[in-house]
Amino acid sequence: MTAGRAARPFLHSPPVPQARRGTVLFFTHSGDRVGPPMILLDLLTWIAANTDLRFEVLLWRGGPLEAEFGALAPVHDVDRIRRWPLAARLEALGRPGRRAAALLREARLRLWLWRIPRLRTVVVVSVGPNDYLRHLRPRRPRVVTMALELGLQLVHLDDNDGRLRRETERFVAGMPVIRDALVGLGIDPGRIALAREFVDTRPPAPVRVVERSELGIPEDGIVVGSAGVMEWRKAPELFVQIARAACAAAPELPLHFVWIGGDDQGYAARLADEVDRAGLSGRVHFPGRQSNPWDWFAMFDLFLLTSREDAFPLVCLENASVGNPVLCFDTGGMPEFVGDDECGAVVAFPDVELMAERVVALAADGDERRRRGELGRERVRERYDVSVCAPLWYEAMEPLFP
Amino acid sequence: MTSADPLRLLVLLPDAADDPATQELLGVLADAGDDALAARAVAWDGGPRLAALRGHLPVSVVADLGGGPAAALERALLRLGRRGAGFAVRRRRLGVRGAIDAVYLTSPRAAPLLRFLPERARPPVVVMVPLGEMTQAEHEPLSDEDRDLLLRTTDRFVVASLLDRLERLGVPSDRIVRIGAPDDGAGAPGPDPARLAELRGRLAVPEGADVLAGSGPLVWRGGADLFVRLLWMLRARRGRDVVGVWVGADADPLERRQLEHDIAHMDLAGRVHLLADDDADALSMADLHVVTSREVDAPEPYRPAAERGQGLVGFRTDVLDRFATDGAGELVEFLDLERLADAVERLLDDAAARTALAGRVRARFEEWHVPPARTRFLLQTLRSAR
Repeated sequence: MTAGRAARPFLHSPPVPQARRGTVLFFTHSGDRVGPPMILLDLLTWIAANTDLRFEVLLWRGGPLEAEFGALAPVHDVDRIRRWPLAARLEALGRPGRRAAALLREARLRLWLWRIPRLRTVVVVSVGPNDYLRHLRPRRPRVVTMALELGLQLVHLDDNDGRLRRETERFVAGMPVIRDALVGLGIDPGRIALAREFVDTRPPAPVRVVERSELGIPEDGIVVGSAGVMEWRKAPELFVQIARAACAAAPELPLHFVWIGGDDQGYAARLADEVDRAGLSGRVHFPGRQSNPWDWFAMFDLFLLTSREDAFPLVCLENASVGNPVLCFDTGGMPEFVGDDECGAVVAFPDVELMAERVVALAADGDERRRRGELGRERVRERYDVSVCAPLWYEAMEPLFP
Repeated sequence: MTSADPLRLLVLLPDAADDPATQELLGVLADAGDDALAARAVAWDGGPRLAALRGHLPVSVVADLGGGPAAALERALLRLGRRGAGFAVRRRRLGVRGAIDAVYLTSPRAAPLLRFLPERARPPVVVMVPLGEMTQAEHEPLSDEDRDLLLRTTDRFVVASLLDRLERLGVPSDRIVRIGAPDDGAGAPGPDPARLAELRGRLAVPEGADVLAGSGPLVWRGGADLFVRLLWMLRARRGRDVVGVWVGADADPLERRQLEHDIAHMDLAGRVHLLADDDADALSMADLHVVTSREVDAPEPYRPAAERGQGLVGFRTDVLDRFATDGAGELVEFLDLERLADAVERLLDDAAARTALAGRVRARFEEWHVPPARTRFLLQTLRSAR
């Protein structure tokens, strides 16, 4: 992770002595290598390099990015704060002990959060996990919400008696489709600012080269990749259905389909069975969660996003950064990036057969594939790089910063 | 033996408990009649349904065998390693004598009794695997020796469900015969026209629109998502005026919400209806029943169509494939929705073919599920097991 390259934004307030400066607390659900924490890490890296904002980070639970957050600011890991040996001992005392332990854990967390000096603003990163706002209520911070999701994820706005909806002074939507969805849910458009989701488009140094032979893919194989946590939103079942249709339509092409990503809901086993019964064994691969996704992206020839609901998955931008054309359905914000099939292809959801046709066409035409991939690489650098977009986010939130 | 001769059957039971295995046997005995069956039974243990069984056929119970000279002789022969002779004595003690056309185990749990059969000139062995029995066998597994004996000795496994588990045990598919669980309610009259008209009105099914039905809980294996995509394909890509009703949707609200999200996104609101089991009558509106299940298990998703005598289309999955042999269903390769849509369109456009298909579906249903026809099918399986 590197610092952004833009100059300090012109809207930024004049320097204030740190001793009198209030603190902004950014919080998100985890330190996992998934969308919201990654975008937050890039944003904070840029803020740290380009502003004198004082901030701390609260993670509902830790994860592989925690150390990188820690290099920028104090990090509070709620899971660890609540994992208190005293409470654990109480829990062993049966039901009353468990009740007492829960109360103690809550109390400890509230007290802990008082350690954050002069808390003035809280930035909630993604609408999903917002229960912890109540712990900060006594300190009456101003609340900014970075809205990064769509559809069924946005129903969390009304969790906990709609606290997030009520207490957020400003929503910053990551894409126009998100802003529209928020308005559709009754948020006053005057409370919504617009920014743009982004990535650091410079691939990190390779951890290791991922060889195709690891999955039994021949050197001349054409790899259609995808990545993400296996869940309903991401529609991994459509990935298999597209693979089936594409392999049936072009049996002569050495097509291989690879999905990397975690699986907490048993999708991989169910889909492996489906792959087997559809006669796709050896053609569709689920290697699971990978710590070096960029190395896998370098092995892909195309990136296929099958999501039925996904605001603006950064993994598409990362793939575009390494020159992979992006194919997606007309759901969420990704069609904005792909354009009129310029950087890949956009297909009406859920037209699996047409998507398979698009996959086959690009797989069969290496020149066109590379041309669209190159266009994507240029576009992502011009419009979606951290250096371009982080100032937009900062600008949208800055009026609520101390 | 001709088909007119009564079938000389040796029935082996684990016990006479009041369980599906015993109920199954009692049903078969009641439906078969004395002309078709000359049976006797050996149970490892007794149980509350022993008297009921003895009302139909002589039953010996291994646990009730006493001592005496025959028992001593049997023990001596076995001790000398003369297993064949020892078990011959055991068979006599159990009253098993004379010619046997077939051996019928009411459950895999009766496998220990197989070792009493003669090694040479053994009659064919048919094992019934009642609904739920394989699951139970997984929890209370047979010993390795009994399991090997069962797999080695059995000529036909007749299974009510969980076919794949049997295949996982290494049983070749040509030794498996599929039969459904008995359905005493089959043949019940369908909803009256007024009820159907009320449902059509409530669901705002346009005049002239074709109706496709599917059923099952909204879980992954049920394949409701594939049913919705099929509807989308027919309407959006092929321009057919078709409405879908899915019964069994009173499951997890999250799964329902997710499916409704897809329905809305595909612009199918008002064209695909997710109904609870209370509205099962809506299935009778269907021109065709579509089975998009990923896995077919009990309760079999073909049953609503089969009970109602409707045309059946679906994916070629194990149980459905067996049900649909000889044209009792139009099946396509797993996940091939394009072909499924072709089959649906072809049948919707050809009323005569649809009616003929529906007749074959109903006939297979009776053969598999309606007790008297089902018993005839079972006896035929026993006769042809050799």
